This record gives sequence, C-alpha cells and structure tokens, in this order.
Amino acid sequence: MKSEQMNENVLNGETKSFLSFKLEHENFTIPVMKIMEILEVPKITKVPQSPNFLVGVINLRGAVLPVIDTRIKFGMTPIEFTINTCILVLSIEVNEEVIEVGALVDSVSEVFELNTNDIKQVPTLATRYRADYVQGMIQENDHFIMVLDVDKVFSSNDLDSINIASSSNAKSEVIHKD
Amino acid sequence: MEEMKATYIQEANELLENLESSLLSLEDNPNDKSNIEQVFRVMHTLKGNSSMFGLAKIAEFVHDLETIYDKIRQGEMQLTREILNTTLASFDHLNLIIIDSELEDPTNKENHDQLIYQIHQFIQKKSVTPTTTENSQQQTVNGSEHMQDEVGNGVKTYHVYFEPKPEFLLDGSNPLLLLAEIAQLGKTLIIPHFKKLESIDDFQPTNCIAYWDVFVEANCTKATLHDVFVFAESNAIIEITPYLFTDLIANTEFSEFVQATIFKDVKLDAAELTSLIERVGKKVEILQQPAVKSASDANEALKTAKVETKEKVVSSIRVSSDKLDELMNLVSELVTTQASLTLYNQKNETPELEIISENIEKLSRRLRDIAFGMTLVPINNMFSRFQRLVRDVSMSLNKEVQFVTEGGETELDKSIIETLTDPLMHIIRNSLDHGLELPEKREALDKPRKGTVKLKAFYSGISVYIQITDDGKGMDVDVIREKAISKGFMKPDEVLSDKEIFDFIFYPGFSTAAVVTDISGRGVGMDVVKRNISELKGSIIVDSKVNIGTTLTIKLPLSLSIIDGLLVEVANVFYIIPLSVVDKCYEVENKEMIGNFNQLLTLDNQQIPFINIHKEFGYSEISDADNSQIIVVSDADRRVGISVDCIIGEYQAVVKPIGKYYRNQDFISGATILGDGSIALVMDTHKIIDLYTEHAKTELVS
Repeated sequence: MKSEQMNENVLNGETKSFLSFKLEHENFTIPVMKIMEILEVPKITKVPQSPNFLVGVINLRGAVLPVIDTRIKFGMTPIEFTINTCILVLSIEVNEEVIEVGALVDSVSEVFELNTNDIKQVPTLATRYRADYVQGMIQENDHFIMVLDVDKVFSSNDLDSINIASSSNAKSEVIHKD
Repeated sequence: MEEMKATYIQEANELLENLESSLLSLEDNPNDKSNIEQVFRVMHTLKGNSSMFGLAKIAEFVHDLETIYDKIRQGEMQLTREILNTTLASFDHLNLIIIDSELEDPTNKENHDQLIYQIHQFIQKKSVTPTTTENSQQQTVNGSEHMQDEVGNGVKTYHVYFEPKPEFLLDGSNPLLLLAEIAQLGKTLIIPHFKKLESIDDFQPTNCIAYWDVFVEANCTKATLHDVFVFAESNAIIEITPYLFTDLIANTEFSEFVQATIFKDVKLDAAELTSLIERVGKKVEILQQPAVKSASDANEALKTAKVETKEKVVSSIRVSSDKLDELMNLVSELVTTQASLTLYNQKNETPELEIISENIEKLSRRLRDIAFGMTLVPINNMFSRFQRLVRDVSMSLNKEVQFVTEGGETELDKSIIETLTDPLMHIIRNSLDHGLELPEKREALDKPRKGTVKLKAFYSGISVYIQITDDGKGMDVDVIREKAISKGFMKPDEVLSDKEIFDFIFYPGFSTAAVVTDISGRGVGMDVVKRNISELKGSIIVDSKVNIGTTLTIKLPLSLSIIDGLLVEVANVFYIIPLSVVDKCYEVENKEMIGNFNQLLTLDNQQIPFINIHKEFGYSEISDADNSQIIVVSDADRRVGISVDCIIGEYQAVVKPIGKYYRNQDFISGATILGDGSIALVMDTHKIIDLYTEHAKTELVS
C-alpha cells in the first residue's frame, strides 16, 4: 500500500494540505504546514515610527509576536477589522533561521488537499502582485486561488527597501537612514 | 588562577573528546593519514596548553605520545594495534590526570610511569630500561612500604624534615614552591632554619643554606607527602615522620617549643619532640579498617580512589546553550505569570492567595537569579587573556606599558564575550601602537615613562559599558577633520561636534597613522570593530584629547534581562523607561511645550532640553490633557527631559526582543508583557536622545 503511494507521488506530485484565506475579494492559499495557529485579533500594540505594513506586536502566551498587515504588503488598502479578521501565526524561514510572525487576513475559508502538480505557473504579466511572492495558482470552479511562497512574502529581507517607500511620514526616513 | 585552570580543563576535555573519536576511527582504518594528522594536532595543542599552564608532567607525557605519532606521520613507524592500545590507555589516563596534574594520587603516578615506559619502548623500539622504569620500580617499592606505614586514614600530623643540598637552587628548583604545595594539604607550621656559616667567605649566593621543619596536619598518606618531593629527592634530605596525634599546631606549648629553633641551625631533638607530642597532642582514634595490606584490600582502595576522581569530574557539566535559553525563557515567563497573579490578587483580596502569591514571587526571584547566573560569565575571563597580548605587543614595540583592568566581575552573556574578544584586541593594539608614545618621548613630555592602558567594565541600566583608556598622545580633532574632508566624508563648511568627528575613525579606509606597522594602521579594522559591536546591538563612542589620551566606550545591551522600570503611557501605549536612567519627574503644562522654539524647559531653575515623545513618535502634536509629565533622564554627560502623558508606576519588566522586523526601530530596546497581558515597549533613552538631536539637526539643515 505504502509503496503504491510512493510511486504515485513520484508520478503525480505530492498531496499537501492547504489553507485558503481572503484578502479583499481575492483568494490566496498557503500550505498548512507553515501555519502554527489561527488567532482572533487581540490588542495590538503599535511600535512607533514603524513602516505601515507592520501593524504592531501582540502577546502570544508570553512571547512578543510581530503582526503584519498582509493587505498593505500586497499593495491593497489597509485591513479593516471585522468579526472575521484573524491572525495566522506563521513559521517562516529567513536566512536559515526560523522566525514566527503573525499575518492579518480578512477571513479564512477552508483547508483542502491539493496535489502539487495541479499548481499552475502564473504568467508573469497576469498578476498585479509581485511575481516572486506567488508560487503559482490553481483553478477552482470559476475563480483562481494564488498559492503563495510564504517564506518570501513575510521575510524581513526586503524591509529596507519597503521602509522608505511605504513610510508616510518624513521623519521616519531620518530614522531609517542609519 | 582557578579560573584559568577551569578553562584549561574544559579545553583539555574537548581536545580529549576529539582525540578519542579520531583514535577510534584509526582503529578501523589504521592507514588514514588525515586521522593521524588529526591525532597529532590534538596532542600538540594539548601539549601546548599544558605547558602554558605549567603542568609539566602532562606536557611531558603528551610530548612522548606525540613523538610516536610524529614518527608515524613521517612514515618512520607503522601504526600497530599495540600502539593504539597504549594510546587509548594513555587517553584514559590523561582524562584522570587532567584534574590531578601533579600526580598526587599514587595510582595515577604508577600508571603514569608505566605508560611512559611503554611509550618509550615504542619510540626506541628496543626494550632498554630507561631511567623511568627504575623510577617506577622504586616507586612501587616505596609504595608498598608506605602501605605498611599507614594506619587507617584520617587526619594525622606529619613531621617533614626538608634539607636541600647546597646546589639545590642551581637547576632552578624553588624549595618555597614545594613548601607551598605542602601547605595546601592541610594545616601547616613551617619552621625555617639557616645553616651557620663559618665566615662571610663561605657565603655563596647560589647555594641553598636554608632548611625546614614542617608540621602538617592533613588527611593524606605519607606517599602523598613524598610525592611532593619526587623531583627533589636526589637533591635533598627528606625525612617524613608520621605521628598519630592531632591538634598539635594549635597547641601553644608545642608551637613554642618548635618555634624556639626558628632561623637557628639546630635540629629538633627527636626524642624530646616525640614525648612532647605524646603529652600535648590528641591521639588519633583508630576505628577504621587496619592497614591496607592484602592485595585485595589494595585493589578495593584503588577502586574507591577511582570513584572519587570520577565524582570530581562530574562536578561541572556541559549543557547546550539551547537548553539554557529555554530555561531563561521559562523563567521570564514565570516572572510574567507571577506579575499577573499579583495583579489578580490585588483585585480580589484573598488572604490565602496573598501568601501563595508572595511565596511564588520569592521562589521565582531566586530561580531568576540562578538562571541568570548560569548564562552569564564574568568578563574577567576575557580580560586575563589580554594581559599576555599587551606584554607581547609592547615588547615588540619597545614600549613600557602598565595594563590595568577594572570591573572584571561584571557579567556578560557568554556568546557576547566571545564576539567581543576580537574587537577589543584590536582596540588595545591600536592603543599600544598609536596611542602610547615611546618611553623617551613620554619622559620629554613630563609623563611617566610607563604608559597606562586601562580596561574597565561596568553596568548602567540595561547596558554594560566597556571602556578602554590610554594616556597616550591622543587624537587631534583638527587632523581628523582635515582627513575626513580630504576623503570626502564631510563638507569643508560642515559644523560637527568633536564626538561626531571622532566617529569618522570608524569609516572604512580611514587611518590617520603616518606609519603603517604590522600591528595596526592600515585603516582596516576600526570599521570592522564598529560592525562587530553593532552586530551585538552595541555602540561605540570615542573621546580623545591631544597628549592626554584616548577613551573608547563600548555599550552593550544585556541579552535577556529583567529590569526595574518606570511604566508610563503615551497616547494609550504603554512604555517602560529603565529606572536606572530616571533622574526626576516633573509635571508641566502642555502649553509650555507647544511652540517652544528652543526645546528647553526651565525645571528647578535649570534649562533642560526636552523631547516631546507624543510628537516624535508621530501620534499627534500633544496629548489632549492639560498637563504632561516630564521625566528627566540622564544620558552620559547630559540630562534630557522626556515628555509622557502619565506615569503609572514602577514595574519589574522582563525585556523581550521585538524581532527582526523592527530592527530599524532601535530606540525601542524590547517589549515586556504586563500583568494584564498587554504589551509595554521598553525605551532606549540613549538612542532616543541621539535620534532626537540628529533629527533636530537635519531640520536645521533643510
């Protein structure tokens, strides 16, 4: 039985669990393996002079967890808090280091099984999001779901470039210069 | 010295671990060149370390072993199973004698000699009897004699008569070291004597004319005492007499009797001594097993001896730093949880709960202290390494230097200390090379011939400061300014403070040294120093005066810390200001701050610059209330007011990192969880003040 499965894997790719969620009206999905937990939105403490996609920090059972507004990160309008808004606690890998970060999303939809072979390449021109954030897309009935490369989206590597572009306030430029 | 020894033992253990794995793989694969090299290298390092710490016996032993592997390496010898067996046996032996470097344990001594004999046989490839065998045989004979002498164990008094031959000093032996060694065994009374000289012509400064009567009260065997003199035996008369009496040294009659002979050339009358001892001493009660005579008993004794040594080894263990980090995290979570318990208790006054809460507070505080004690090491470990560096560098530069260290007890995270070693070494080299002048020049300048380099560490708030000061020629601000202009780092018309100008020395490619030496001056280095320190989230400041000297101050954050702070609120966000920097709090009317052109407030008749946090942090111009609180904080040599909306009170804060995402917001040094679960941000007032002054300047320029 097991060996059959193995063969299938080689032929047909791997089957993994994915979680889909919504930002505005778009559907996105990431592997369940990357998600540690899903939280209701607690009190968020904003860190002064930080880029606006960094919403602030929360207390996750005694640890301090930074929270990112995924919508701003994707060039959408800032998130509006509703009863469905929640935080995905993600474990991402940056420079061979695993860090945890919270991602604010409008709502979570469902967990589903997906064969990696079903992920289709995105034509680079077809997306209005940064191409390197998107691993591919899948078609479900009449709509598309973007499969995200979590490590890239939430890595803090491109912080410096984003910083200046996104900071609305001139003073923070002075801060970030050094 | 104890610390150095601990370092040595730790390093040696690591080396031996390496050695063992290499040896075991050699066993499977005796021709593996790289492994033989590895074994040789490890032995070589171990030898070097041992002789550096003056452990001659270990060094000699390893040297002999190393010789075998050198020959194998060179192809002069073939690695045989016998050699491997002996090496592994030697390895076991080394493990034991690392902590018994003077071979005080007779078993070790015996093994030692036997192994050396075997090793020599391998080296010479013929079974001639080298001196060591004689020695070891003699030793065994002596050993059995001692056994008979022994009557049980327990504290006894030994009378050691030690008379070095006149030529004793010629080979560099120091009788005082032997006496010091005896003194470590127990309570001692040492009576020195001098031989009478017939005339002044008989006086030879190189001859030893002193001899000693030593009384030791110790729980040791006669063999142990004998071993102290093992290298002196051929050159001195040594008589060791055991007495089964104690409490002699404390006895006035006894000490008066023996002290009467002090410095005189008289021998203690044996019969008189014995009778006196029998009269005043306390007889040792013999209730344990009689003399260890039979072979089986002897074996038994050896076994216990071995067990004892093993127990000594276990007294310190190595724990992975991950586990320690985990422990620290748990402890800080406990402190946080305890804060919420206290908060809950304040709301629901229950007497029983109060007792429990207080107990938990006490326990968690103790636990915190212990956990912190485990990861932090005194900076002294690092300081002592620099002594040698200073000596060598100053010799090669022909400079006379006095190296002073202060605050060695200041504790820092072990990993920080490791990263800090290289930058500090660089700075000290710079001080020696560029800072201090040559002795002649110093004298001409009316300075003491000997230059001083001072290394000082101290705590302040949530930071540790390390200062390197020299009293050398200092740096000229104008020279640096010109150099900075010529290199294009600053515009000729720019107005900068001295501190800012000194900062240029950390720019890559900036060197003011006229002569480049092999020690320093190539203009590489200071930028690396700054980078290393920035990686540790530290900062470095230079202060220098021509002909007076240079001071470099490094500031480092404590990695994970629990600090006493002042909990304040700005625009509904909680902040913690470390209590250690807080000077005084004032209340001022908001209208005094708005439109304040020169950003100064008059408090207690003093003009104090202030920072409007409300505005600087981008909330709004000022809070809606009528008043603000001004917290005057001290930052190095200045006092600055920080305005906040309201002060809540004192709070013991577990400072946690806020993560990589906020690496550009370094004026927040971390966050802490309050009793009700909300978060307070910890301000780094030093950075805030720096930022503010920089910011104000940019505004002026633009």
